[in-house]
Amino acid sequence: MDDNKNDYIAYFDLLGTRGFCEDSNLYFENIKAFNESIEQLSSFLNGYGRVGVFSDCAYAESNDLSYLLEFLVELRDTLNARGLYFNAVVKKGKLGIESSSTSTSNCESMFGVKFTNSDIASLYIEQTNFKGVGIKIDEGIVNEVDSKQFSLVDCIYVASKEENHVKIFFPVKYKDISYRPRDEWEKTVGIDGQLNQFYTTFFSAYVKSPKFGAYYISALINLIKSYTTDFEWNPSDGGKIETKSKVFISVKQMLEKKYSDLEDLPGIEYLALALLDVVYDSDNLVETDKREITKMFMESMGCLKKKYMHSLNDVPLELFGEKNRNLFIKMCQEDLSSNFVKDVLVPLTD
Amino acid sequence: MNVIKRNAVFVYPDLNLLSRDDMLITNRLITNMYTIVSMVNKQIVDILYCGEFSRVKCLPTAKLTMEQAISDSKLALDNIRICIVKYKDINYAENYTNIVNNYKNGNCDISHLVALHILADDDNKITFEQDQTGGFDVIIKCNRKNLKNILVSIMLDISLYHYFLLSGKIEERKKFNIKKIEYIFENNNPEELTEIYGNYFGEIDKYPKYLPYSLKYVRKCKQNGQVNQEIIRQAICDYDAFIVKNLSTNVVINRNGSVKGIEQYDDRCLIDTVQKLTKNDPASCIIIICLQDSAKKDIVDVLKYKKEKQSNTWIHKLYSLSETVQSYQIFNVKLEEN
Repeated sequence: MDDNKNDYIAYFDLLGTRGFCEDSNLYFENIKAFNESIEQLSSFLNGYGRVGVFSDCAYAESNDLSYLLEFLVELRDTLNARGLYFNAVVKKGKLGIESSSTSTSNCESMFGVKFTNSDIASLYIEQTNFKGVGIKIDEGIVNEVDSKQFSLVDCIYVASKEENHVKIFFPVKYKDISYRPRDEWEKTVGIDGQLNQFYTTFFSAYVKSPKFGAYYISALINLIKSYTTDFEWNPSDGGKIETKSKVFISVKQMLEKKYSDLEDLPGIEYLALALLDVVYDSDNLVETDKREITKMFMESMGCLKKKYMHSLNDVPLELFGEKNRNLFIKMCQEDLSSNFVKDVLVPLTD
Repeated sequence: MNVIKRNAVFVYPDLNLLSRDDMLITNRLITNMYTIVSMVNKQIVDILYCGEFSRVKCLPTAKLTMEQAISDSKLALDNIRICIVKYKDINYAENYTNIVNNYKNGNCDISHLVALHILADDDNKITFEQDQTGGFDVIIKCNRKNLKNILVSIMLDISLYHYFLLSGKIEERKKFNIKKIEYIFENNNPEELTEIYGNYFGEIDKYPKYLPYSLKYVRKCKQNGQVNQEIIRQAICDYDAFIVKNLSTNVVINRNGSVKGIEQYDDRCLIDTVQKLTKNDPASCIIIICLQDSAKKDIVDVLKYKKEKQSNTWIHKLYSLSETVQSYQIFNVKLEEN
C-alpha cells in the first residue's frame, strides 16, 4: 500500500464500553470480540488499506473507498450479530501513521502510534459529535460512493445542546449505508435474530441512561428505511397495516405498546415520523388509506400527539419529506379540527 | 444457576487465500452463525422456563468461536462439540484435524463431536449420517433455516440429561449416548426415523454415534412465537420413561420373599426395604434408591413409584434430596414367575 495515496479514513468506536459497562468481564469479552472481528475482516481491505485497533476504537485508511466501506459494512453486520454496535465516520484524508517506541537500557519504555497528519483531528471531532449507531458518510464524499454497491440512507441522530440551562435535544441529518440482506433467509429469518439482539442491547442502553438509548435511534431509522416493503391497508377489525417488514411491525408495536416505558427517550417521536414517511411513499396505498393510517398512528402513538402541530419544521426533510410532511399536516388539521368542532358543539346541538 | 457452555467452532481458512467471492460467502456464514446461535440461546431459555421443568439449575448455552486455521492456533480444544465443516460446496474439513485427533485420543472431557455441513437454502432436507472417516460421531446436513432446531435439540438433550441428575463422568455420558441410540432404534419405525433424522439407518451398527433425542419435539414446540408446553411436557415424560426402562436394574422377588438383582448392595436393610415396599404389588413398582456415596453405597432414601404413573414426580422428590445424593439407581421390580 502506497502511503502517499491514502485518501479515505475512518474512525469508529465500540459502544457499550467506557462509561457504560461496569462489568469488567463483559467489557473484556466485548473488546475481544471487537478485535477478533476486525482482525478477521481486515482482509476485505484487499491490500488497499489497513486498520489499527486501540482497545475499543479503531482507525482505518484506504485509497479505495469501496473496499473501505465494504470492510465497515461487513464489520457492522458481524458485530451486530454478536449484539455489538459502533459509530463510525468516513471522510477524505490521510492518517499519516508512524509507529513509535523509545528504549532505555535495552528495555522498551514507550510504544505507540503517532498520527502525523492533521486530518485525524477533524475525523476524531466529527466522530465524537456523531451521537448515533451507524456509519456516517461525510458530505464531501457522498457522490464518490459507488451506488451499485452501496445504498445511502437519509438518517438522523439525536444531538443535544444547552439553552438557558435547559438541555434540548434536536435531530441532525446525515447519510448512512443501508442494511442489505443478502438473501431470502437474511430477509425473513435472520432479521428475527438481528432484531432480538438489537432491542436487547438498545433497551439495556436506555435503562442505563436515556442518552445512551438515543444512540440507537439512528440505527432504527436506517433499519426502517432498509427493510421497506409494500403496504396494504386492511380496514376490517378496526383497521390494520399489512406488511412483511418485521422492522416496521416491531417499531410500530414499540411505539404503541411501550411508549410509556420509553417516554424520556430523546428522539422517540422521530421513529413515528420515519414509519409514516415509508407508508406515505408506498405506491400501494391511496390517500384514504394513508388518512386512516395517520388517524390510527395519532390515536395509538402517544409520542405523536400534539408535539408536531407546532414543531415539524425542526424535523429534517431527509427524515420526513416535504410532500409527506404537507400531507401529514393536512390530514391532522382536517381530522383534529373535525374532532375539535364535534367536541365543542355536541352539547349545543343536543 | 450453573451455565453450561457448549462450544461450536468454525475454523475458517485464511481469508486472504480465498477468492473474493468465497471470502464474502465465508464471512457471511460467520455473521449468520452468530445470529443463529443467539436465536438458539434464546429459544433454549424459552423452553426451560416455559413452566414444564420444575426447576432450572443448569442453563446450556451455545457459544460460537471463530478461529482462523493457522498452525500455532491457540484454540482451546477441550470443550468443542460442534464443528462447521462445510458450507454449500466450500469444504473446511481439513481445518479440524487437531480437534478430531484431540477427541479421538481422549484428551478432552467431551462425549460427542458433531460435524455440521450447512446446505444451500433451497435444499430443505435434514440428514444425520455416520462419518466414514471415524473422526466425528455424526455428520449433520441441513440448511440455515433448519440449523436452529438442530442446535436447540442438542442443547435440550443436555438440559434433560442434567434435569434427571445423571452422572457427569465421561464414561457414563458416553454409555448414555449409546443407550440413547438404542432407544431411538427401538422406539421409532423406519418412516419416523426418516422423517426426523432424514435416514432409516437399518441395523444398529449403521447408526451414527450421536443423535439428539429431542429433535422431534423441538421441531413442533414453537408455535406463533410461543413454546407449546404440551410438547415439552411430552418430551420430559418420554425421557423419564426412557431412563426408567434403559437405566434400571431388573430385580426379581420370588414368592418366598427373596430378592435377586441387588446383591451388589449387600445390605440386608435395603433388601428388607425393597421387600416391604413391594409386598402387596411388586409387579407394578419401580423403586429408586438414592445413594449418598457411590463407593460406600450408603442409602439416603428409597422412593417407590408405580410404573403406570405417567408423571415424572420421582425426580422432584430427588431434587429435595439432591444436596446429599451423589447418584441414584433405579430398580425395576418383578415377581418371579413359576
